[in-house]
Amino acid sequence: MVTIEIDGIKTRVEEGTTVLQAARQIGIEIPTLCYHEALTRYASCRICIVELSIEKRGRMRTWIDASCVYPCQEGLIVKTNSEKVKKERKVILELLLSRAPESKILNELAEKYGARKDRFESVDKGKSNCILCSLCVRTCHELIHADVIGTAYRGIRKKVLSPYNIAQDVCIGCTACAFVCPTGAIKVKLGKDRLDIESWPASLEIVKCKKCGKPVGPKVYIEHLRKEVPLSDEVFELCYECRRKMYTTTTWK
Amino acid sequence: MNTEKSSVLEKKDFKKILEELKLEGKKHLFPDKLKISVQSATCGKASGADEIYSTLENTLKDEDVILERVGCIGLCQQEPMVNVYVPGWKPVVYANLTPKIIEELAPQWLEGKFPEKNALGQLGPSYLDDMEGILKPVSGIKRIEDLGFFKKQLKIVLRNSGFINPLDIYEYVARGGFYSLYRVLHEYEPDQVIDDIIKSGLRGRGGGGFPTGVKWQSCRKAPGFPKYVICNADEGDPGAYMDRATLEGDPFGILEGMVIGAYAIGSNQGYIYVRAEYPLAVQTLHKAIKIAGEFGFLGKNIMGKDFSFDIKINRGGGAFVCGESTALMASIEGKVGEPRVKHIHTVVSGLREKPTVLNNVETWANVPRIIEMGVENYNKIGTKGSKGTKVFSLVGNVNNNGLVEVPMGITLREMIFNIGGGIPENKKFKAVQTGGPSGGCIPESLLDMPVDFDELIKVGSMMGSGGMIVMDEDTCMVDVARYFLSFLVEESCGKCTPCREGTYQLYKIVDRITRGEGREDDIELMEELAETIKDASLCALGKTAPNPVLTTLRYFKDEYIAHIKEKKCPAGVCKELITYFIIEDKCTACGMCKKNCPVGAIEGEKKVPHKIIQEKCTKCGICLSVCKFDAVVKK
Amino acid sequence: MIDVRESIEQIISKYEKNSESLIPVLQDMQEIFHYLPEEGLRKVSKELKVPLQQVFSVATFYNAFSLTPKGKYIIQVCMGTACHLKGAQEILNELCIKLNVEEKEVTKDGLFSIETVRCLGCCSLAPVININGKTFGNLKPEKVGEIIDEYRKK
Repeated sequence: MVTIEIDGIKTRVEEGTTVLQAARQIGIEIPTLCYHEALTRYASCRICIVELSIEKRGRMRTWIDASCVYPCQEGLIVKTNSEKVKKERKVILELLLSRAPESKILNELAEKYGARKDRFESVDKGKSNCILCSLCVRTCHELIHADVIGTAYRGIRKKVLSPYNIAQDVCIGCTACAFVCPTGAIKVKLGKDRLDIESWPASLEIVKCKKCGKPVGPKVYIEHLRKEVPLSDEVFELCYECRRKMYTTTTWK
Repeated sequence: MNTEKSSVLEKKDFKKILEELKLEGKKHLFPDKLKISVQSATCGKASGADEIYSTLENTLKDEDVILERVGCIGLCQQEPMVNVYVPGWKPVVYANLTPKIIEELAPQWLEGKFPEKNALGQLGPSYLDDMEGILKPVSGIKRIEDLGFFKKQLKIVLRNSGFINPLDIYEYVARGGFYSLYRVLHEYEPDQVIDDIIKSGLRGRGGGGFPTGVKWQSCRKAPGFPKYVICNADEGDPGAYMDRATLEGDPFGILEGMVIGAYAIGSNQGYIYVRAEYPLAVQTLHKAIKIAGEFGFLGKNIMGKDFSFDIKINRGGGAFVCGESTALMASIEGKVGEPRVKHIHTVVSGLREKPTVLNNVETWANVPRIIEMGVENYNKIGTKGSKGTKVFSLVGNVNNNGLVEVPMGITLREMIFNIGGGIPENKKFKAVQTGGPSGGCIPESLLDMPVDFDELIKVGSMMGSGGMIVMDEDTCMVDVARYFLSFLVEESCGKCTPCREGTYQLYKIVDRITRGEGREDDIELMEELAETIKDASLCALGKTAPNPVLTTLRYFKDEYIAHIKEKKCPAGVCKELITYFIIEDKCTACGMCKKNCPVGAIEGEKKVPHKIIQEKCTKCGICLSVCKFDAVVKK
Repeated sequence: MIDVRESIEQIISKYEKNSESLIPVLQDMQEIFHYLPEEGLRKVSKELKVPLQQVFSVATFYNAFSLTPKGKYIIQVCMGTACHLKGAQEILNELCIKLNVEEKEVTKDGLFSIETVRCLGCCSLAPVININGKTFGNLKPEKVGEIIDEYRKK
C-alpha cells in the first residue's frame, strides 16, 4: 500500500494502481477517451493527463503525464484539474474536435473546458470523425480475435481500415467496434436483409427469426457464437423477443 | 592467412594471440612496399572514390603495391582522398583527387616521392603511435594534426577511421584493439566494469545524455532473463552522419564495446539496429561480426573464457521515430515503431519485456577506449558535467564541412571559426543548429558558450546525436523552423494526439507565415500549442518537436514579426515573399535565362532586355544562377 | 518474369516462422519485387501467423515499403538539413518538372520514380541525390537534366 495525494486529498492505494483508478476510487472523475477497462492501455488520446509531483533526491519534480497508465508510488502528488492541466486539456480537445467536430462526448467536454470547435482544421476536414483512439482495433484484436481492422500509415495520415477489404471474409458482424467508438465514427446500418458496417466496409447477411421473421443477427456472427457457446439451437434461431417468450413460458412456471 | 589464423588460435593463450595479431597488424599498417589507402566511406564514394580506386588499379596494375579501401578521416569536403604510405616514411594524405591527378601522382609515389600537389598533410602521433619516432617526416608537407581543421580535435572514437582497413582485424589489434576486452574478461568482475564506466562520467551520445554506467547498473540489478544489449545505429537526425563513419570506418571498436557491456550486465545476445539508408554500414558490420567470431572475440567462449555473446543485425525500415528506444525495440519485435509509455524503464522491461541496455554507436565505441586509457585520464578530458569527447558533423554554411571529434567544453566559436574555417564567401554567421529536429538554433550572441550537455539545454537546445549545422545570413529562421516541423510531421508515428495533430497544426501555422499569410495572434497560438505538445506528448519525439519553433522564437522573433506584420522575408528565402527581377540596364539579352527557365516565364527577343513574367515564375532561382551579367536580382 | 509465389516462399523459408521475422521478410520482398504485392502480404500473414491487419500496418508504417511498384530507377532526393539549406527543394522541383511526375509517382514509361529521404549522410556534398545506389553530390538544378538524360540513354 502507498500513500498518495489527489487534489489535496490523501489516500492509500495498492502499489501499482493507476492514478486514474485511484482517483475514481475516491470519486474524482478524470475524462478519458482511449481508455477501456477491458483492453490493454494505449495512452494515446492524452485527455486524461494530470499534473504529477514527486520528491526525488531533495528536489520536487513536476511533470504532466497520462493518468490511465501512470502507477501510484509513495509520496506521489496528483493535481487533476490545475490551471495547467485545464489549459492543455483544452488544447487537446481543440485538436480532437478538428477531427470529430460532431462528436457528442467531445462537444460536452469542450463546453466544460472552454474549447473552441473551429480553432484548427484537420487533414481530413473532420469528415472521418475518427480520433484514432484505436479502441475499435484493440477490441477486434484482443476481445473478438477477428482482426478485421488495424491502423495503417503513420503520423497525420494514420487511419483505421480493413486492409484490402478483408472485412468481407473475416468480419463476424458483432459491431463491437461501433459500440466501443467514442465519437460514433463507425456507421452501422441495419437493413431488412443485411447488416452494413459502412466504414470497412462489411456487408453481412442477416438471419431472420424462425417464429416472427424479425432480424436475429448476422449469419456469420450467429455461426461464430454457435461454435463458441454451447446453447440449444433455438437460442440461435429466434429473435430476442421470441426467445424471451419461449423461456418465460416454458422454463419458469 | 587462414592457416596462420588457426595456428594462432590453437594456442588458446589470448595474451599471446593478441601479441601475434598485433605484430602482424603492424606489418599490414606499415608494410615493406608502397601502400595506397583510398578513403571509401559513403561520402568518399559519392565524391568519386570508386573512380580513384579503379584508376589506381589500372595505373599500378603491373606493380607490387598494396591497394585498399579505408573509412574517412573526417574532412569530407575535400574527398576523394588517399593515404600514401612509402616504407620508412610517414604516410601522406592526398585530397581533392581526380583520375587525371592520380595518373600524374601515382608514378611519383612509386618512386618514393611525395609531390606537394594535392597533399593535404602527413599523419602524425595521433595515428602512428610508436611509429611516430621511427618513420621519417616528409619535408615540405604539413602535419595533419597542425592543420586548422584537425588542430583542436581529439580523436578517441574516430582514431582509426580513415586510417586502418576497417575489416582488417590485425590492424585493429595493432592499434590496441581487443586489449581492453582481454583485460575486462581476465581482470574485472562485471560490477567493476560498471563502476569504472560510472566513474568515467560517460553519458549517452545518442541524444539523451543519460549516465551510461548508471543505465548499465540498473539493468544488471533488474530481475529477469535473458538480458539484451542493443546498439542504436538508426542515426536519423538529418545532417548527422557520425555513426555512419564509425560503422564503416572502425566496426570492431563498436563490437568490442558491446561485448564489454554485455559482460558487465550479464547478457548473451546483442542487436545492432542500423537504418536502412546505410547499406554499406550494414555490409561492413556483417563482415566484421563474422571475422570477430572467427578470431574468438565474439560468439561462444569469448577469448577462451566462460562468456558467450552473439550479435544480430536488424535493418531499419525508414522511420526516424525508430531511433527512440522503445520504438526501436518494437521494430525488432516485428511491430510498427510506436513508442511505449516511458515510466516503464527499458533497463527493467525492454526488448521482449526483458531487461535491456540500449546505447548509441558512439557510446559503445567509447567503452573500450575508456578501459584502455583508464578512468582518471578520461576524466581529464571535457567539462565537469560532460566528460570525454563528442563527434560532431559540422555541415552547412561552413568552410570545412566534415566530421569532427573534440573534447567537451570547446566553444561554438572555436568549432565554427577555428576548426570549421569560418563562413564561406565571407558571409555573416547567423545561427548554428544543434541536436537535430529535437534541438534548437543558437545565435551569434552565444558563440562563446562551451559545448556541453547541460549548457546546451540551458540555452534551449540540446546535444542530440551531434549534428551541428551552420547557417549564414542568407538563411531564413522561420523557414528553418518550418523545415524541421515538416520533417517531424512526416516522421511522427501518429499514436498520440499532441504530436500527431499538434505538430501538424504547428507546421501549418509556420507554413502560413512563410507564405505571407501570418496573423496577429499566430505567435501566441504557436506558444500555446508548443507548451501542450511539449508537456502532453507520449515520447521524446513529440516532447521535443516544438524546440525548433521555440528557439527561433526566442532568438529570432524579429524575423517572425517581419513575416507576419510586414509580409517580408528579410533573408530573401520564402518564395511567396520574394520576387525575381531582371535589371534592364544590365541585361544583354543573351537569352541564357530564357533558355533555362523551366516554366517559360521569361520573355524577350534578341537585343531586347528580357523580362520575368511574375505570374508564371516559380521562384526556382535558375535564372539568377545562369546569368553571367548579374542582371537578375532577388528582392 | 519472376514467379511471385515461388519467390515469396523462398524468402520466407530463410527466416523463422514467427512475427519477429515480419520486417526482414518484407524488406527482402521489397528488394526483389520493388514493392509489396498483395499476394505477398497475404502469404506472409499465413506463414508467419500474423493477422493480415498487422502485416498491412507494418507494410504501410515504414518508408522502406511501398504497396505500388516503383520505377526502374528510383531517384532519392535527400532533404536533410544541410541539403535543404543548399537548395534541395529546387532540385526536387526541377526533377518533378523534367519528369512530369509528382513525388512517389512513377513516370509513364515506368523508368523513374522520385522519393524524398532524410538523410543520406553525405552532408558535405549537399545537395545530394541517389539513383539506385549511386550518389550524386554538389548538384545544381541545371545539372539535373543531364543526369536524367544519361539514365534514359541506358
